Amino acid sequence: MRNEKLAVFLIASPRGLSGTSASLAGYLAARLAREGMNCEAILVHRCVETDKGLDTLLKSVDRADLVVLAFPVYAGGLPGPAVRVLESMARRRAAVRAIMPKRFCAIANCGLPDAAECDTALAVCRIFTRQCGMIWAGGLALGGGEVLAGKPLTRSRLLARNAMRALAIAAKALAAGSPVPFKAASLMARPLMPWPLYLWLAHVRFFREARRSGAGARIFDRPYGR
Amino acid sequence: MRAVVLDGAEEGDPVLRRVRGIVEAELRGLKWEVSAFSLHGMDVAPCRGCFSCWTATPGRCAVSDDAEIVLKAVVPSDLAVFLTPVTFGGYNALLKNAVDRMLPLLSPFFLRRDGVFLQRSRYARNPRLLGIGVLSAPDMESVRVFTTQVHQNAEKLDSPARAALVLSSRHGSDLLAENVRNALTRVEIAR
Repeated sequence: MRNEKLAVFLIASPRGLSGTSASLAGYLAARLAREGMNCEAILVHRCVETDKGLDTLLKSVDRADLVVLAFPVYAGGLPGPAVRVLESMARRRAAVRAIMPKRFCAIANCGLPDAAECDTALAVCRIFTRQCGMIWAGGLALGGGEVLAGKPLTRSRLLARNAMRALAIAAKALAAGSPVPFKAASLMARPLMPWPLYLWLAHVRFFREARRSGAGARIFDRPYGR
Repeated sequence: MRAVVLDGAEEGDPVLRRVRGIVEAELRGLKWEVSAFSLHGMDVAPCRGCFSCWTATPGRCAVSDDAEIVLKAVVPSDLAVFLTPVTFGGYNALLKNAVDRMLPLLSPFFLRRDGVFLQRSRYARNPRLLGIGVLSAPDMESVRVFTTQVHQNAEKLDSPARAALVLSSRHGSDLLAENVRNALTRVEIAR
């Protein structure tokens, strides 16, 4: 039986649909669809560029039963445009009392290998839901998300196996109106690979990219002084 | 000694304006040179997450806007002050955009210190960091999360001293000034 509930995914990555946030959100959306939910994706960075875009985003959120914010962690928190959306959602909910209470879930990924780097950002999401009368449906944190390089998770089966299992468990719970189970969160937080290997791969990648763009010799430049 | 104040106040926020005035007055009283930036009136685009500041134009952002002015001021400073309304326990969008754009201060190389992963700092000396948040209603979880965020940012920026201060919008000027003075002591500026 289809439950016809709507999940709105807010993809808060400047890379849009080609980032790891979209990969994670895409897999969760597919699993939620399998559980009978309708899913809609919105690119936050594009929407916040104009008032009209932001208004469209807020109207979509109004219709949702479940809101899923997927974002990369920047400077220990949510990217600026994601904060802007939360500020706007809070203002709207304060102004329009009739908006039904809805559930809010967050999927964070960070470039550092430890998923715990996402904790502060997820705490911000949790406080947001409490302060504007939404229901916290839990958060998932992935460390070393850069490795997935924005590819669909099904194309990185070995690396993303724990993330896929976590999202499948989360989808079942969310579709049933429950919060993300602890098991899903702990599976998602498992390292994608041993951290020394991750650091080595990251260093090789950045050196190679710098050399390719002719900046290999300037990689340690200090353009603004000491 | 130089200080940079990144003011995330929205237009017409009287409390943050008052706090900024107090911070500037205290620092000038200690003979510090202060550069303050009202982010509300500046053109600071969100970070594109392109890593050009690591791999194409090392140390510089590929996006040319007012964030470059902020970076140029932060690098040679001895103290950076983040000023923001506490927004769900974090920074507001204006300040967060500016902080996200500080990625060029870091190099693309990781290190692990005391079990914590960090990015190596690009510069040999970094400013101390004082994060000041103003709360409109008491909320202990917001205080805790804001404090954690400031300390994490300071650790990533390799700041030699750091402090987080959460003020109430209901505090009078005397109490605000006393709290700011105490925070400046914690970042080893005032005694």
